[in-house]
Amino acid sequence: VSRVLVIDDEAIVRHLIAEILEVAGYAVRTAESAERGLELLDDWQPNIVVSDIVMPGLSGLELLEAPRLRRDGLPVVLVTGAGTSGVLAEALAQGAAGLVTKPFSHAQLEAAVADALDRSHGSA
Amino acid sequence: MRRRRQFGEMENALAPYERQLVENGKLVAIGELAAGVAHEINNPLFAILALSEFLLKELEPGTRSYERVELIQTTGLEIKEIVRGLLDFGREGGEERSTIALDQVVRQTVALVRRTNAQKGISIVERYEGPLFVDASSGQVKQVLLNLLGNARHATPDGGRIVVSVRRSDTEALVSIADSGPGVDESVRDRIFEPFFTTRRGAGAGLGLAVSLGIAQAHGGTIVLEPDTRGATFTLRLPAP
Repeated sequence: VSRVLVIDDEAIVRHLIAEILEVAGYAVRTAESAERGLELLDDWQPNIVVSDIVMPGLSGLELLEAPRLRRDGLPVVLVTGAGTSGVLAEALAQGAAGLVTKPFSHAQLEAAVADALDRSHGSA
Repeated sequence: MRRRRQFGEMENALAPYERQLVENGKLVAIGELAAGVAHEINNPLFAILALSEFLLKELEPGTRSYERVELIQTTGLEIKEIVRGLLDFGREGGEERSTIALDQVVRQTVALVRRTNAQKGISIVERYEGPLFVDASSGQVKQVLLNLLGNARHATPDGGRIVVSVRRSDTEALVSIADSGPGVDESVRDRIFEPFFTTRRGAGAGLGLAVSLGIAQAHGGTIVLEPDTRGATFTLRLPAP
């Protein structure tokens, strides 16, 4: 079972993303900030991170730059409330494994996570 | 005396540009606000839609509860489209541009509208001069056409008609949409492109024409309300080298 770390500062969004992925068969842990998420990486060793972009403290885009994520080539799927082409281009240029724009359906989130995991397994 | 007259002439000549600058400034400010609001709405909207989806998986199809949750989902999806409109408004250049056949884009958009207004008994007459190519984002041009056609449809009474014509004029491609409604009242002609200005209370945010004009201007073109027409005629003008 793949482990997914979900990071979002909005509790309801965080819990719903976690529930959608749990129902889809993933093991999920959540964090309310990117900083807390980085602490969980060593403890729990997830296979993939799903993170909001706009958060107090470290943003989702800044999270992509974290040395710990870079070293392990951990895929990060970003979620955003402002799905403009500029955000998409910036996220992909910085190495995001996927981007889903809110409000997304269960299927869209599941597909983004599955695709990112497939690609990371393929390149491993 | 002569100086004063010259100054007066200069002032008159600059007035339209000044108006445009003020208008553009307003558009940018409201665009930023709209993008911010859209962003804030998307989190709770995601919660509503994601929870509806869970409930629809758990409930028995055909029951009253299922239908009610379906209605929540449908309404949520309508809000999603409104928010998308706000985000489009906040966008500057937007989508990728390429050389597109404008006449084809118009045909596709009219076909789409025809499918949605059949019940109202409005006929749409199309006039094309021939293939006409422009450098544009087809998605954004479709959005403009849908806005203009939507307005025309609202203005046109049952049994009326809308005439869509596509033609070239020197270095411009022109798409005119003429409705057979009551026309635009003289008192509001200057205000119809202002953001949040609407003559149809409760039927929209009043952003359609402002968004459309913003898109046209981002393409180096404009939208004009033609003077002295029966009904209202809006023309989208795009550069066509």
